[in-house]
Amino acid sequence: MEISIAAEKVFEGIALPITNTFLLSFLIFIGLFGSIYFVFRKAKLFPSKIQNFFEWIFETFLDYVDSVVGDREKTREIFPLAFTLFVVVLLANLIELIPGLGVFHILRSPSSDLNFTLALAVFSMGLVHFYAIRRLKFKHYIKKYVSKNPVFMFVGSLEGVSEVTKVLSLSVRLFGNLFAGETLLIVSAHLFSFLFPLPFLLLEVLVSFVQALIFSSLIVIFYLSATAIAEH
Amino acid sequence: MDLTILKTFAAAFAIGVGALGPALAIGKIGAQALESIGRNPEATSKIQTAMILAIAFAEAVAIYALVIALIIEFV
Repeated sequence: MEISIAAEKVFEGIALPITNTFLLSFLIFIGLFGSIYFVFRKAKLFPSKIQNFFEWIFETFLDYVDSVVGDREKTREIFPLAFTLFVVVLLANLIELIPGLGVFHILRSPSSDLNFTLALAVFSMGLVHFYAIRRLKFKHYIKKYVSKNPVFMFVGSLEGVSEVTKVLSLSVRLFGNLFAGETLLIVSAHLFSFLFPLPFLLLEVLVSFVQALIFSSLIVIFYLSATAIAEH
Repeated sequence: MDLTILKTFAAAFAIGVGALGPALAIGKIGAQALESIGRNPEATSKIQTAMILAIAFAEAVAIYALVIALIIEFV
C-alpha cells in the first residue's frame, strides 16, 4: 500500500514528468468538451434525454447562483467560472470512487493533487479580482487595500493578506478532503475488502458533491465581496 | 525515542487536538441553524445554504490539521 502526497509519475514528458493526476485531469477535459460538443451540436427545441439532463444541471445551478447573487447582470459575469469549476471539481472528485483505487496505478483523483487545486484556486481568485477591477475601476478597487489614513492602511494590508489566505484555504480545503478521503478508502479496503469500505464510500460520495459545491459557492461569494461598492 | 515513534505520536497529536475546535464549532453552527429553522420554517433553504457554507469554513480548519498530520506521517 503506497500512499504518497505527491502524485505518481506515469512517464517523462517534454520538460516535466507526466503524473497520473495530470493524465486524468486531461481526460476529464477531453471527455467534458467532447460530450458537450456532441450533445449540443444539433440542439433541439424539444430536448433529447441527454440534452435535457445537461440543461437541468445548468438551470439548477443557475437558479442557485441567482439566489446567492441577486443581481442578474452580476450572475452573468460570474456564472461561467462558477459552473465550470463546479462541474470540473465534481468530475475530478468522483474519480476516487471508481473501483480499483489502490490497485490500478493510474487511478488518482486530480483534486487529491495539490498542484491541481492550487492552480484552480489561483486562477479563479485571479479572475475574480480581474472582474472586480473591470467593474469598479482600479482607483476604487485599490481603495480597499491602501489608504492615506494609517488605520485604514493597516486594515487594508490585512485584507490583502486575507486574499492570499483565501487562495491557500480554497486549495488546501479541497486537497485535504480529497487526499484524506482517498487514503481512507485505500486503507479501509486493505483492512477488510468486503462490506467494510461501504460506509466510507458513501461518505466520499457526499464529500465529493459538497466539496465541489463549496469551491464554486465560495468563488461566487468572494466575487460578491470583491465587487461590493465599499462604503465607509 | 527514535524518530519514527516521535513522528507517529506527532501525527496522532496533530489531528487529535486539531479536530476538537472544528467539532465544537460545527456543533454550534448546526444547533443555531436548527433553532432558526424552527423559528422561521419558510427560510429553510436560505438558512441551509448559509449553514453548509459556514460548516465548510469550520471544517477547513480540521482539514488543515489533517494535512499537517499527513505531511508528518508520509513526508
